[in-house]
Amino acid sequence: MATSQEVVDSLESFALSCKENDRLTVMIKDWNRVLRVEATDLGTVNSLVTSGGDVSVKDGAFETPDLVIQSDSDTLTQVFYGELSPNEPYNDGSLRIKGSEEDIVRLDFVIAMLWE
Amino acid sequence: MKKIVSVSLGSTSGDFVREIELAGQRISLSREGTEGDIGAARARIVELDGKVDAIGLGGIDVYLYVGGEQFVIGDGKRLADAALITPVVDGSGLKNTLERVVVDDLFRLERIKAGDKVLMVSALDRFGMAEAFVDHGNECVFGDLIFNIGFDFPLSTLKEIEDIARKYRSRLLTVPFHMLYPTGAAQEVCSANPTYAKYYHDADVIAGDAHLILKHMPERVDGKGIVTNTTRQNTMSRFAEAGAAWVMTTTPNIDGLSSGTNVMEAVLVALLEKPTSEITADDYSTLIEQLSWRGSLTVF
Repeated sequence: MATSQEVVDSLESFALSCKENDRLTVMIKDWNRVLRVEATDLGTVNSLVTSGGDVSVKDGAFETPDLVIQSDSDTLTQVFYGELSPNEPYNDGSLRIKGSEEDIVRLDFVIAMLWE
Repeated sequence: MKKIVSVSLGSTSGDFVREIELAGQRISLSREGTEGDIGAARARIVELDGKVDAIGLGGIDVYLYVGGEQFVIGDGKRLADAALITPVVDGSGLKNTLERVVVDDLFRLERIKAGDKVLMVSALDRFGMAEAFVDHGNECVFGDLIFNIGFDFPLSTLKEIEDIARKYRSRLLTVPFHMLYPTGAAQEVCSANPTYAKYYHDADVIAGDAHLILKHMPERVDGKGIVTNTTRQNTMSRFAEAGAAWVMTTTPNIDGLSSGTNVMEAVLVALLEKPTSEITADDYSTLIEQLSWRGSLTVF
């Protein structure tokens, strides 16, 4: 089990990787969303906010997230560090993503562009 | 009589049953839509297996060929593998051949000239056509990220398409196909985003999958050429009413119908009477020449 700080660190790493990728920054410039990340084994909630091509990590939850990402802390850290494709835990049900299919595809695309 | 059935994830509104004669043989051609129901498509393929000469798989790809590499679409491959006896083809074996020829023909007919701006709504599934436009000196916008993913990020080089295909390779195996491409009733829904209309307006020629072109097409496309396939009467009417100058279909017009490449590839496979694993691109090219198959140009 990862710690709550390790989950936050993985999200920060993901956000930094997005910022450092010039092409991705332009791609997502109009994709303004709130992603709520819930570590089910820790009971913690963090948010990733995309706005104008920037990605940032916020403590706590926003009232109306566009996507809710739920999994255990180990899976979340591995996914956001790019060590694990989200497909595998998503398909076996250990990673749940709630939101529009369009936004799920976009998030998965962003992760693929960063880590594949 | 040869019997060919195209099982499609598209809507049933495009279903047809035809009998045609080719190379001295009577061929029964039919298309059966399943409204995006993959389970129903699979069940139908299992039912047809061993009872028909070839099965076309419509509304979904099994393989994409990009930059000399083969990419597998998971949902498509699982459907194709449902048949154990009858060959199942998705049209990808033909696209490289037919669609390059069509671009060459458009230049020969002076419908397109070097420097014309081309919008390909998606190029991953038609890389051969994309290469042909680039080779002819067209200024291209490839809209894969815009129209399939929803990011306003036009691609302009073949290398970018190759790069994205490689990064997205593992996803193609697992992402449900309907999340990337409209299936069933979603094909009939027009969801033109005003932000993306500029790409249509800036282009001289709009090319690619007919469902994608129509789904995002603004009200007017005055004077523009369209290069696509799978046109039906209502498809052609929509292009004409929107002011398009001409439509070139990449598959031949048979009895007023330009079928999907999967149907045409299934016809060729049935006529060749060889195991699909032994069929080469040259076999297709030779037979296409013998049949005098060419794209069909309609000028409005």
